[in-house]
Amino acid sequence: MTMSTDPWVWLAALLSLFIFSYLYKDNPLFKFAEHLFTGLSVGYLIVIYYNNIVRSYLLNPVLADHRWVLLVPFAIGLLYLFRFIPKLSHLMLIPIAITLGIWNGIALPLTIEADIIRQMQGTMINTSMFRNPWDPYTGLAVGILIAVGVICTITYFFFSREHKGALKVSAHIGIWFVMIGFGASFGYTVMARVSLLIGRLQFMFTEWIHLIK
Amino acid sequence: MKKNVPLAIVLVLGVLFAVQYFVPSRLSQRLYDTTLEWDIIISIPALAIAVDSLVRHHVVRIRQRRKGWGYSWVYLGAAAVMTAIGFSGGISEGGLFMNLFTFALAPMQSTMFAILAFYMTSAAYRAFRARSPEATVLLLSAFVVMLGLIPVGAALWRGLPGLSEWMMQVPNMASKRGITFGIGLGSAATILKIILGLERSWLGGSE
Amino acid sequence: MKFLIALSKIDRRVVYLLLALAVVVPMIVSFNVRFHVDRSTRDLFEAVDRIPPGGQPLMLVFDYDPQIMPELDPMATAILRHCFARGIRVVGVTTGAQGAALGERAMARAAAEHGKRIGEDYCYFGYKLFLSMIYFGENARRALPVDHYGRPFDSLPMMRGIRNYDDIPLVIDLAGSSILNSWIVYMGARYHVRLGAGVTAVMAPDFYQFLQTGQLAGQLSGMKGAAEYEQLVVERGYAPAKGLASRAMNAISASHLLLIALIVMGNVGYFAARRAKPKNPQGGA
Repeated sequence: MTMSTDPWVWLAALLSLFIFSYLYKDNPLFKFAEHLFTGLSVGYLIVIYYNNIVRSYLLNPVLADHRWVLLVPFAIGLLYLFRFIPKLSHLMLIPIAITLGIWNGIALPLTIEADIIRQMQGTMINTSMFRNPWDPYTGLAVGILIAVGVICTITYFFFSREHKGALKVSAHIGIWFVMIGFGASFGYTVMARVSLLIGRLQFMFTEWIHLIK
Repeated sequence: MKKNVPLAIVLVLGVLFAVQYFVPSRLSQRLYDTTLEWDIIISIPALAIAVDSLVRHHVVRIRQRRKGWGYSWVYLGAAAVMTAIGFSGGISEGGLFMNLFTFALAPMQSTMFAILAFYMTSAAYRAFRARSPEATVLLLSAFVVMLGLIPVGAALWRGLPGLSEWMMQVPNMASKRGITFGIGLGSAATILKIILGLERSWLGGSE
Repeated sequence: MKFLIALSKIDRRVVYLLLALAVVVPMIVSFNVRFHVDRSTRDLFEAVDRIPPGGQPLMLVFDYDPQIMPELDPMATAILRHCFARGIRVVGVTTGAQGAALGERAMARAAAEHGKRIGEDYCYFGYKLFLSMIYFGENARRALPVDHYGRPFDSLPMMRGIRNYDDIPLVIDLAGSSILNSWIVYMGARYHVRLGAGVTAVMAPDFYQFLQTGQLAGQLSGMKGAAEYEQLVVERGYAPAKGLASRAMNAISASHLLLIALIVMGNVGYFAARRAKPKNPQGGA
């Protein structure tokens, strides 16, 4: 078993150990690493934002291509900075309002289409399901099961009326579907969390301590 | 006036761009095209606000000598050094900036999330109990999915991966779709409330 | 009975140690296993495989950061190997600042393995705002004016003729957040972009509904999805050996079995303790 001689790998390993030390208890090494990491990410964000956004969309088009008209939206964007002048801070609401208006206007029909209409289409029983009614994924039986599951789940989350009679039965069936869904989510969450740990330990035992080939 | 102008802007632009989707004329298309490009540029100075809020807290902590103020120096120093290196040395792969990302920032950030595996295991061991029929269904569903995901599951019973996949694609999907309907309707309602000026929390203050 | 009750009272440090061993030991004692490939993985693989070599490029979106890198990096590598081995061109981009570095590294490594040239076989545009990617649907040139290295769009030979999403046969978003939902809503609904996804396992159960409606062409779910894709890439002869995700599956197997055992033990202890508890004479719980 050998160890890496690369100082960068050692730095990565030691900083990882500082973070792992939190498993024992909160301590100064963890706190140091925590602040170092958040500080580095702010610096990283500033540089990447400048390089990939400010230069690409503002400086190059204006200074190299002489598209002076782009200074108009930039001037509107500068109104954000009035946040630092309390008396005029309301001017900051102008760029916020423009962005909100544009985004919400664009999003309204698209959200209805993607999250509501297309999902309703997917829940409907259609003629293709009769071709092979017992197919476990596309058959009629499954189509009915999905429709029942969706409707019952919705009724479970419908709190505008007391769950009595048919609503109670439907909501009760809904709980079972929700529980299967949450169980599945839990199963996948386990895999997700363990995967992250594996990634880190793979680094520690492959690149730092050469234990795994 | 201070609040009516922004509300009017949201109303006009919101209605305009919602309608634009249904009217793909050359003029409306050009308007949409220009607006998208302009909005990218409008958002650029917002970075200053983001950086301010990230830095201000630590500056105040140092000034007031609050508990742990020394760590705030670590934070500000790291941010300043990373920024200076990025601007002076460039961001190419193999350079100091990218090495700091790869060997300092990335390992710490991924370890921060890696330790969650321990807490999750401990919490599941302590709290995941079959206390009721519903909880038992949740538990069984989790077991089927967890075993179905791994090769050992198939060794135990060949049908397990298929059952796990079917559970994901049918009952799980149905329940998640029910929730998506709720989120979709909620989102659409919130968007409408913002456009119509009924939702005003974004204005700040008491309104 | 005391022994059974004790099963639910193992010290948390012992639980931590058991988990660490369950992850590390299978990594040292490596064994190769074949596993069941989900339909969603196969669908994504076929969608990539149908793209004609040397033609319009696939767009790979690196919407992830270091915290979820172990799940999504193997996906990126497997997809890139598949594309490059088949001669499919790739456009890389990310809407998350930290994804810029991760995407660059993944693309450069895979390109070097296959001797691919930047600008001709692949392009990397790095970090762009999500708004820019909506704008790509209208005007690709203005939406991505320069690549990550500052080269103008027009100077990149493989980007010639790319006007908008109509010229991109498939977009694969590798995501660890709700950004994938935004891709489905904005790009899927408005521009009818053919979308595929690689998601963290935490998010995977939420996106099966979009597979059923065809809003997603296919999906890789967490480390298992990456391992399945690696298996398909090897089976079809695009790569000689599987990658990191397949090796990680052994550790995932062990940790899943450990967790199931711990939950069963916890429940056995819980029910044993309930039985041992003296009954309340008033009949209360």
